[in-house]
Amino acid sequence: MPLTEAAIAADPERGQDYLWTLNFGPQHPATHTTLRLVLKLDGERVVDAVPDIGYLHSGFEKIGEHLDYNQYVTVTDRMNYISPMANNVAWHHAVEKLIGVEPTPRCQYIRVIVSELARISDHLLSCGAIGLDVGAFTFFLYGFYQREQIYDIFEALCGARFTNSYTRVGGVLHDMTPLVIEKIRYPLNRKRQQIALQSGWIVRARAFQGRR
Amino acid sequence: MAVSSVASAIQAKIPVASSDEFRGQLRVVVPAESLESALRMVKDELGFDLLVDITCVDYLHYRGARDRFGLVYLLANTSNNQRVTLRVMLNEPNLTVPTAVPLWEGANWLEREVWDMFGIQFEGHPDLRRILLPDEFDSHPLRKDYPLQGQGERHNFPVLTREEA
Amino acid sequence: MATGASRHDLARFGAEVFRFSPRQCDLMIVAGRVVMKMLPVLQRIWQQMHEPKWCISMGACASTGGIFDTYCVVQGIDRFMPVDMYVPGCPPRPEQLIQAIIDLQEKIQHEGTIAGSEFSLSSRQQPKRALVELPILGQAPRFDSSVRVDVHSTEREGV
Repeated sequence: MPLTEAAIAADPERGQDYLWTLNFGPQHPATHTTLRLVLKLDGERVVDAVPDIGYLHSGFEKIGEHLDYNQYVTVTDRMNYISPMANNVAWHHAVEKLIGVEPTPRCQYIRVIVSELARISDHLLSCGAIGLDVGAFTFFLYGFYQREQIYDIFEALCGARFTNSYTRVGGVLHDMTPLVIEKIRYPLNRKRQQIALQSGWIVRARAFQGRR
Repeated sequence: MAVSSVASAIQAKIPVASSDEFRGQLRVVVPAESLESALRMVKDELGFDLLVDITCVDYLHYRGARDRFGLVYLLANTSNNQRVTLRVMLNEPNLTVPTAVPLWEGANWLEREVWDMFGIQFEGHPDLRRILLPDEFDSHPLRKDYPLQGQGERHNFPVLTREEA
Repeated sequence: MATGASRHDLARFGAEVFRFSPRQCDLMIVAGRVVMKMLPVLQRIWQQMHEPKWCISMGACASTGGIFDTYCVVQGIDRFMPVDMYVPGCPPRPEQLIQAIIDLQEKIQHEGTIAGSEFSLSSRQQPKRALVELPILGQAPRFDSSVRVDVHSTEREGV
């Protein structure tokens, strides 16, 4: 029986029946939300993957036919619910382009700041989840601590930790108060060093290094 | 290339029903017969190599609409960041268009979604089946005559009780 | 996810171990909207869990459908599965989920755990008032006390 991959693949009589079809089902921790993959495996190596989607299709587009622009922003929150502020900004950017309204410079700065904070929290969660699945649990906890700090900023800004429908046509819901500005500015310098330090826990994690 | 020159280049080469520009975005309406050649021309000669999305609009309740469906192809040119929208107007019962899969592989899933949601057939598509909804679903939900709450499909499941499960 | 993380720590209530295999679990938390394509999968997971088992329906979307009153979202998983505890909110705060787990622990303490069949006694079922479903625009929902909801039937009011 040939043992190396090259020998197996080159063996003409063998065919492809050593490949094992596995249903990586819609409920699986590593897929986080619901994605179904039909995998063809050769031992531990994935040879082919056919995805099957639709397990979280909620009819967002059809809902949009019944709501107006400021109501629909609550639905856009739930699309990528890990960084909802960014979705709100994107939605109202498109609406304002359609209507022909230009928001003020202050509003544009506020929107950029909140969507970048949302992006940071999104990356923290996604890298933390990678670590969680593989077993490098430490980064998940520390990353969530950083995320909680960002949640505090959002809560001081508009009242909700996430799925805050913060933008409106032509502007945002509330202006930034000095408290919020201080909350963003104060930990920012240390946050960069902290994340750089903590990312070592995932980049140098044994589970990844062993697979290099 | 400025937007107007893209428009004139497209108009010179394929029969265009109309072409207009709104907020810096160019939209070209193409008759259904020349869709395939239009897409091929736009990809090969004008360099719009990225198919961003294929979607559809149902104009059933729209004031002043002449056709029912507008199938929209969003294309982008990755080298000079130009975007163009190609639109094909379709009416029942001729809801069949040639597939864009030979030109762009990504059109496979995009066309499956349009088939699932609107019911527009793509001839030549390798695997035209439902992508977002279960295979047993009957209708095409994003059409305007389909109600938001559905027609009873969402609650058509067996009930598990404490004794039996 | 934030409930299991460091600020609101679920491990202090004895619920740290998130084992993703249904064969090893006691509690199933259904978080988020359940689409009709996913519901048979969810029912199969519920059937694969061993007794004694409980279910928490977390969030407005799992409990009632939430803001998604659409053709594809199941309007409440309790139409198709037995649910023990409901957590409101969209999204629910971690403190609400912790409260739900504590309340479930108390409910188990008081009501017995041996077999699920003791929960479905008719004396335990409160008669449910049917909430009449209406389109989104224009009308407030009302309770129709003339319609009685049968717990075991599949067809609901004009769905």
